Amino acid sequence: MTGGDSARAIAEGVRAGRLRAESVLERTLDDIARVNPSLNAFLCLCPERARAAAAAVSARVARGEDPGPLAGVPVAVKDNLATRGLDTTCASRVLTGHRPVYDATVVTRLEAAGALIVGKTNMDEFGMGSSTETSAFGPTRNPWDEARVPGGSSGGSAAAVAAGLVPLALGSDTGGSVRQPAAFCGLVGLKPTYGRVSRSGLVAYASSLDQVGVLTRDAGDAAVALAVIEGSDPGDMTSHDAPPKAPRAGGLRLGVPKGLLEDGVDEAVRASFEEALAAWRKQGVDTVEVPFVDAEVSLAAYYVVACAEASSNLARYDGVRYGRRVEARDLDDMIRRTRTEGFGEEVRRRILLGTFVLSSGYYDAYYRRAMQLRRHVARATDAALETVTAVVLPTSPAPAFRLGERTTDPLRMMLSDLFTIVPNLTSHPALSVPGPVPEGQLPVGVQLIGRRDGEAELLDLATRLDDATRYSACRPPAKEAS
Amino acid sequence: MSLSDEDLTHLLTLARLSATEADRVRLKRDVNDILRFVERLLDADVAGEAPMSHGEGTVGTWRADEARSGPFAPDPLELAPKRRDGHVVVPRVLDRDAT
Repeated sequence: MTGGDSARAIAEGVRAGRLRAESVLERTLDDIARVNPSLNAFLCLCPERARAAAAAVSARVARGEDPGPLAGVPVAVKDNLATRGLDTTCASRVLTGHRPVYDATVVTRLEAAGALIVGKTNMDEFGMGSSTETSAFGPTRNPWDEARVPGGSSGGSAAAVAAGLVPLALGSDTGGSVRQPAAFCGLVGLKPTYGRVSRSGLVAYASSLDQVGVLTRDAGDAAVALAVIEGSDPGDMTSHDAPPKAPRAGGLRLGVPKGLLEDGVDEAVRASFEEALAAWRKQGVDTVEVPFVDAEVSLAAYYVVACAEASSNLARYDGVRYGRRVEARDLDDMIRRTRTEGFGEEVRRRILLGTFVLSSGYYDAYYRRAMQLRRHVARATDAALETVTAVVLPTSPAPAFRLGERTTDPLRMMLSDLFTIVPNLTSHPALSVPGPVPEGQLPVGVQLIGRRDGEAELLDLATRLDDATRYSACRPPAKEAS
Repeated sequence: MSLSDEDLTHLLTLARLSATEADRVRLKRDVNDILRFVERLLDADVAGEAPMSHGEGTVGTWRADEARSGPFAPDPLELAPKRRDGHVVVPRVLDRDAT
C-alpha cells in the first residue's frame, strides 16, 4: 500500500477517505522495522509523534476540513534538521543525545501540510562526506546493492526512499548532498535555489552554501514537497519569497558543457548521459553545447569556502551550552577534549583546513581568492543560462562505489563532488534525475542546473524524461518493502 | 604550500583540537594532499572580480523589531551538559596558583 506509492497517491487516498493515515503509518513502521536493521537508514524513529499527527489528519478528514497536500504521507527527515524533543545528532558523537527545544521551519511546514514525520535519517557527520560513511553511527547501505554506499551526505534519506519505506525525505545539500545520493539510489533529488527554503533549524555546516532539499521517486512529488516547504521565514533572513519563475516561452533547450565528458567519467555514466539526451530530444527538447566553468578549479574554490565556513560554524561545539562534554581539569582542556573526542576524522580535517585558509598570511591567497572565483563561476553560469533552459551534466562521475573503497583517500572522495558543487557556489537550483541504464545495472544520475527560482523548468524537464524512460517505476532488485 | 609540523601544531591550537602522533601523521598527509589540489586556485585569473561571500541574489528578509518568546522557550539551559541554579557550570577558568 505505501511501499512504492507516490506521496501524491497517498495524500489523495487519505483526502478522499479511501485510506486512513493511521494504517498508512503502521504499515510504514512495520516496513522500517523489517528493513532498517540491514540498511541503517534511520538513526531514530518517533512513532508516537507520527501517530498523533496521523490522528490529527484523520480528525480533520472526519470534520470535512482540508487535511493538507501531504495528508497522511510518511516523511523521513535528515538528522541535521532540528526536531523538538527528538534526537538531532548530525550523526556526530559531539551531539549524542541532543534534543532541540524547537522544530526546523521545514519540519513545522511539513506537519502543517499533514505529513507524518516518522524518524531521523543517517548522514555523513555534519554533512561532511559523500558516502554516509563518516557517520558516527555506522554507514547506511544502498538498497540497490548493500555492498555499496548510498552516496552522501543525505544517504539515509535516499536509502529510505529507494527502499520504498517512505515516498519523501528531506535532505540538505551543501555541495551535492541531496543530488549525489539521489543519483546513487535512482531517485529525483532537488536542491532548490539558495533562499527559496528556510534554513532555520538546519544545523549549519557552510551557511552560504547549505540548502534544504527533497528526495522523491518522481518530479511530481518533489514539486508538491517544494510547494509546502518553500517561502520566506522570519527565522532565516536569507530566505525569500520571489515568485517561482514561469517556464520561458519557446522550446526547451539543454546546454551540454563543452569537453565535460572527455576524461574522468565512468563509461556507464557517459552512456546513460548520452541516452538521456537522446530521450529528451525525442520529447522535443533541443540540446546544444555551451561553454561552462572549469569543474576542478570550482571544486578547489568550493572546498576552501566550505571548510572556512565549517571551521567557524563548528566552533560552537565546546561542551558548554549543549551536546556532549568531556570533563577535564580546566576549561581549555575540557573544550579541546570535547572537540577531539566528539568530532570524527573527516570533520577534524575540514576544520583544520578551514582554520588554515582563514589564518593570517593565507586568507588573501586562499579564502579571498576562492570568493573571487565564486563570483566568476556565478557569472559564467548565468551567462550559460541566458541561452538555454538548463545546463545538463552527469550528477557524479561514477555510480555508487563500494563501502570502504574511498574512506582512506579523502581527495578521491572529494572528487565525487566534482559536478555538483557549482550550483551551491552560485545559488542556482539543481536537480538530479535518474538516467536510463540497462536492466540490472546500478542507477546513474543526470543533473540539471536552472535559473534562480526556476525550479518549475527543472521539474518539467525531469517529468519529460520520466515520460520517455519511466525511471520512476524502477525499483531496487531485492529488499523492497512489499 | 606544504604544512610543516609547526604549522599543524599552530592550527590545532587555533581550532582547539588535539592529535596523537599517529593522528598528526595522517592529518598532515591528508591536509597536504588536499592543499595541493586546492592550489590550482592560485593560477585562476580572478583579477577584478569582487569577492562573493554569500548567495547571489540574496535579498534578505527583515522581521518586525518585536520581542518574541520563542523559539527557545521554555528553557535553553536545559540543553547544557552541566548547570546549577540557572547557570551553566564549567571548570575553573583561572589557575588557582596563578592568582
